[in-house]
Amino acid sequence: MHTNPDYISLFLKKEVLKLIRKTKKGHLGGTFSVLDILIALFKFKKLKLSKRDFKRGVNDKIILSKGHSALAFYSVLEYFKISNYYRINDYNKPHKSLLEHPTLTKNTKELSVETGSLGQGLSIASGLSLSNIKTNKKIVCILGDGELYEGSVWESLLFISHHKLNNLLIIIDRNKLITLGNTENVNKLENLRKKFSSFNFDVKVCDGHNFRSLNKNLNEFSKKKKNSKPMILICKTTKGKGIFSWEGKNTIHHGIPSEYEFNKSIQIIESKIKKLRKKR
Amino acid sequence: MTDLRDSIFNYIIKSMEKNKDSYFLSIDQGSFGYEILKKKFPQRCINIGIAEQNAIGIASGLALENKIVFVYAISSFIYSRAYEQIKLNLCSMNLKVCIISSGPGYCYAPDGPTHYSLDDINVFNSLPNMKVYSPYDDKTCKQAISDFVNSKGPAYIRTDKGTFYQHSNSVLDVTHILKGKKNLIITHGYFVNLFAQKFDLLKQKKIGLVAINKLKPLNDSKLINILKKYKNCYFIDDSWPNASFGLYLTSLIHQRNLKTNIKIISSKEEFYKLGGKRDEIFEKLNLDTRSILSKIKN
Repeated sequence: MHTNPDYISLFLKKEVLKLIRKTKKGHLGGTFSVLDILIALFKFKKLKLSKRDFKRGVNDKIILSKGHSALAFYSVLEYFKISNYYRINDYNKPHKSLLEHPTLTKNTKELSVETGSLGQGLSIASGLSLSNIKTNKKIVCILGDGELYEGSVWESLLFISHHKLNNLLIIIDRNKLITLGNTENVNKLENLRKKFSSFNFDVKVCDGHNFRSLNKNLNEFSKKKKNSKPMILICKTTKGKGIFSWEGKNTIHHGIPSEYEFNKSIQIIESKIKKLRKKR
Repeated sequence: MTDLRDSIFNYIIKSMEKNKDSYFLSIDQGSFGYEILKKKFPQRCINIGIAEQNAIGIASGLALENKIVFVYAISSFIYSRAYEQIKLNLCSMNLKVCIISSGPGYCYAPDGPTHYSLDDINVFNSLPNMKVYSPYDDKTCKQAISDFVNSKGPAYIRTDKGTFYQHSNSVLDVTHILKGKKNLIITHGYFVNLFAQKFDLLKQKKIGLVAINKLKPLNDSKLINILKKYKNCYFIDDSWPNASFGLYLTSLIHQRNLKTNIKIISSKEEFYKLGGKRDEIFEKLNLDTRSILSKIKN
């Protein structure tokens, strides 16, 4: 298993692309915008997300509120060998509960929460956080930016802020795209930083594909003291990151690249992997 | 006689005294019992504010950490506003959360259609893993709370307002409160209390009375054994006609090839928009006991 997160990112993108080329189904765009965030979380040593932590039941929890990116979650769980159950080649197969959205069964406890209907994960995360406010357990909830249109998210934010649930890290996958276009052309979300600050959150912004930047902010979260403001990390990302000619296009939400685009993307990924290997 | 809400809170308090890992979430809804609960468990009793969806989400998160959670809300709002969260968070993940709904049916009559809850049983009845209770005295309140605490998964307890008669033979599921000859009334919650006030008349007319506390899952076989003794049964409550629990009973009778005739007496298919107290509205809708009993012929 490679330790370089850039390598892991490229490797997993290639694996997911190979899978989707076969299945011709998946929410590729959001999967590839959130993938690096998930890798950064699993690599961050101050979060208890190892196979041993999960087995002993002492793990911190990740809630993928933007549930349609479940494939990213499964691929990371497989890569870090958290459980044998997660094999992306079993994605959507009849004998397994690895569906398009996280589904909670006795075999998929690592997913923490069942999601798929947007706007609900944060409330559940706040309940998990409330339950663990006196323990060391950390809760991370990842939301899509389009998900911020759901009113229930703002109900949660009021509660989290009021109760200072600072063992909860809220991450926004800010790729600026929903199914039918740019968020700023539908219902303007900006200035998001100011909005969250006005709700009394400690707001950070970073490049969601830069592991150094992600790590730095995760460190900030890990140092949070009691009674401090809970943290929101807005990660600037690209929908469909790494897919040839689809980066930043809203059609990659549900859309499937052509055979040429798949091949080109894999070719580009493989050459980047080669360059990384040379650097080592 | 007992105040039903006081009863429910009494048993919730007892449960929370026993289970230190339980929480009570209020959606900005108070009561006499709530004030006592809040004083006893200040850390575990939280007012979420007027946010039904958030309350169910928070309850789900707590329940995922093995807490037993009670959520207290006005009936009409909790099941409409937070239906999706109830379905996907509580039921699909089979979480131990009990919704204590205040003011079912036409309980909040003067408040108008926004506060009526005339299809909630139908809604909850269709959800896998959900248990549904409609208690009508102190015993059934106790049994409902106990049944929830001792079983897996979510529950919905309809808690009406006012003082209710006590029945010595009340059980958790189906109680044959009064035995009759040809005709049987089947009902739950507030209507049990209405008919309890007319016991002498029921006895005179030899009309039996069955009270259901645990509507879901229903003890089918017990009810069927009772139904076999009657020629006619009348399911009565204030639901909208297409949302009546009586439709489930009709299907049950048909599936089991019973000879018992069933008639459903329910509210009208409308949003009732005239004033009045609940009993006054019942008179207008022919849901008062006099109107109902006039339909039951010997």
